[in-house]
Amino acid sequence: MADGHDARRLDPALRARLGSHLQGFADGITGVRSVVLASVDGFALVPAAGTHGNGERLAAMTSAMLALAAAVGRELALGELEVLMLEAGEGKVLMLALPAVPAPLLLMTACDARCVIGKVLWSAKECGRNIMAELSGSRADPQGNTGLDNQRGAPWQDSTIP
Amino acid sequence: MPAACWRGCGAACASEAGASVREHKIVVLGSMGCGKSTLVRAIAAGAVINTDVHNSDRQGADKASTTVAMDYADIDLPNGDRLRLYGTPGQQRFDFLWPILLQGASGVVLLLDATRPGAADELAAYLAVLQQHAAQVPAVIGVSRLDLAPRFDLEACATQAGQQGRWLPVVPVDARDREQGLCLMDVLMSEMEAGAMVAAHG
Repeated sequence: MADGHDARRLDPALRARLGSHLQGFADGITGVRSVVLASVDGFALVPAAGTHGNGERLAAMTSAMLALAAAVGRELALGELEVLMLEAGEGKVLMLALPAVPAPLLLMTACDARCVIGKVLWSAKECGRNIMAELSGSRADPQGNTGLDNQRGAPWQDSTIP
Repeated sequence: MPAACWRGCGAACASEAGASVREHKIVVLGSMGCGKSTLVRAIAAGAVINTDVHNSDRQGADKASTTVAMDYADIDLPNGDRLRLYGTPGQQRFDFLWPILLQGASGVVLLLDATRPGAADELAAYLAVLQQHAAQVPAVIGVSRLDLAPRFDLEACATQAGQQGRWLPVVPVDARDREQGLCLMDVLMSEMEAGAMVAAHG
């Protein structure tokens, strides 16, 4: 039942830059409780911004939830999954699939009831774009080092095709 | 998606039976890479809803994709009953899903990879999961990749399970082989029927 937490070897400088994007997003909206950036198979890639919840657990849950949502989308022929929203009495959760290169990523944010979901969605997408730009910028490295070791660029949908 | 038929004759055979359909929820537990998804796909002849994504943990298991929520398949039995087969994600970080998927289960397949050095520890861990979340649910231990580990001790598995409070059948299975998968399901169904008889007659 071992888990591969050591498999993530994110370049420290890239990790710091991605972390600052997450923190900027969390600081920019009142009521954001947690932000997690995860791989599609459920590893937390950057320490979670915010203090609520266990980042590793939230990363795995985000992966499972978005994979289930993608399965629903495939069943209904809805096209590629982009966003999953949850609303509860005390807050809301947004999960975004980021078509990042070289590997797709997931962004999860949880916020309290004060947040306006549209504003959170807009800001989360902006954060996602910044993250993808950061990753594509690092691809300019002459050696092609993206900082995302042990990841290959299978799109979210393609890996589900037998 | 129409249910796959046990005999391969399509959903018609369930309706031919005419009786009300009894449904059996079967959950497949086991570590990453032991063959759970392969087993579900083989039994369902490929008609599976999956939640596979790219696997970035090649140390955990050297395979291209991995299940992160569940595999799901319907299989119609010749007697008109229906199996609802749920494959679980094997990684520890997805353990929050195990009790959810085990809720309401009629039977459990605990799949072990005979080639893994820590197979005995994994068996102990999954038996503890069973004890915690499905203590009364009939179960069977399937052992995959036995051809690559000919010295694997099946009897020791049965003994270990017994010492942890569950005397379970231990069945070698090639997860890729549909007939062997169906044989494993037959053993599990027998356990379920025996359990039902004991419950009915005290």
